[in-house]
Amino acid sequence: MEHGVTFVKYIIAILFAACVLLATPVVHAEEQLVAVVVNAESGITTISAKQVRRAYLGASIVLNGIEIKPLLNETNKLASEVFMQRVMFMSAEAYERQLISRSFQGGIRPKVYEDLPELLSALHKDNAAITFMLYQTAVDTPGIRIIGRL
Amino acid sequence: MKDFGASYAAIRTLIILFAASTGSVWAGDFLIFPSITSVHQSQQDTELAAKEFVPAADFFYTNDFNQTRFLAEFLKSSQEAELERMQVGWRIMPGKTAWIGRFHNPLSFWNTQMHHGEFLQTSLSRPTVSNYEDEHGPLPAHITGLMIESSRTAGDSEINYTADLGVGPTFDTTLQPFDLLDPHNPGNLAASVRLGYHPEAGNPNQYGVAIGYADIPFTSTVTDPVSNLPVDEVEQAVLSAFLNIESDKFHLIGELFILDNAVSGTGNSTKYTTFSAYLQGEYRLGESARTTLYGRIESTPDAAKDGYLSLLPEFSPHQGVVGIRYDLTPKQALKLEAGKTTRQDSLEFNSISAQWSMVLPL
Repeated sequence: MEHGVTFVKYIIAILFAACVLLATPVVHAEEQLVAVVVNAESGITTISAKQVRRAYLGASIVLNGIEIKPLLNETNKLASEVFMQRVMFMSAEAYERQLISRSFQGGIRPKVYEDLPELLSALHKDNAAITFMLYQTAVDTPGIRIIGRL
Repeated sequence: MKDFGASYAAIRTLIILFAASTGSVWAGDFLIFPSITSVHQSQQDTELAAKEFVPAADFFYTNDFNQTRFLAEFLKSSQEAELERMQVGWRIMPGKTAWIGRFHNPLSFWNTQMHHGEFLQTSLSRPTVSNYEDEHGPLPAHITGLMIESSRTAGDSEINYTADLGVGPTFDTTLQPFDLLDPHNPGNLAASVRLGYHPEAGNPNQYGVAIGYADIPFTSTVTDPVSNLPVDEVEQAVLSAFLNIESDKFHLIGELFILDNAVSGTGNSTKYTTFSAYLQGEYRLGESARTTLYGRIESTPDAAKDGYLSLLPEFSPHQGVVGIRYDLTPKQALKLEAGKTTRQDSLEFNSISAQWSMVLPL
């Protein structure tokens, strides 16, 4: 009987370990989500993946009466990679080439930020500005609001 | 001959803007498109021989100051120095900008997409009908005046239009656009309107139509080779349609132009109507898509019967090219192109060309 209890304990332990292992990728995937954020005072409430993509390709997107200004976050390589894969559906090189072409035609190119405090400062100064960052970074950063989870 | 003193002053100004474009109010986009092109033809005349080896650099700067936008582009090559664009824009409202200055004529889709940014275009050469004025292009590639650009999204799609009004080129042996650095020879009225439709906003796929008008005065009276009458002016009306379809692997770009050239002199006027078209297809090889194969066919079947086009001996009514582009890095490319050309002056030749091009900063 005692052997039976021990056996059940083993089974439970194995199942528990399996659950932990299975849960790990879920947590990892959660971390890989990208959040689109604005400053806490912004009137922009929500944005779709399509609108984000268009805005970062240079199209004029007006939300809640405000023409949004996309800021390109290059402060975190992982965030950039996830953004390119999940939202822009292209490589960073292909995106850069599109931006060069767009700029050459007189279009507006999103400003690039390689320093997080500078990016957040620009975001706080302009209620029309949006940017993206890893979801967990967005949750942990005060003074900003998530308007899209992609 | 261009005023090279003014040209070098323009280069200096752009380099100063570049130097200042690190962390200041002048921080904008400063791009340089260097290229080296080598062309070899089976038949040569003086003009062709001079085109065998052409190093060039296109300097481009743009910046925003609140609602105002500034844009300048300057080309320096072994053959010419020209302030291609200098325009100041005011963003009237979201998606709508009014520009003043010298800009690309939106009549040709190719012209506005690539212009002198050799790296941006897949092919080494341009379609003849969209060639620059000084390379015997039949259409005004630049206009100096006022331009309005506007775009509006409707659901997933976007409609954009561009309308401009200004001073067009004059004509001596080729078209001569109004030169901001040497403004002694202004042309007459030129205007165009282009309407484009993107099925998906932000996506490069686009279809559209354009209409244009230019009153082009000649700097001296010449003889129309078709009618044998003396002429000193051409009134040009153009209707065009374009398409640009892109996917990961394929790219198709094409335009159709209907040209109405009314050539006139003292007491006479002759009207010529002809059409011109080109279609370029591209296919990117492999997963990395660093290698692109392309081909283009272009034709202006009745060019020899058009008195205005007959004044452009290097205009090529028939041309076909095939080529390969290899992207050495994301911002550096090598191109090799073979072509067969029949010019307006009946010169026929085969050609092989190679080009290295890139965009800076890396």
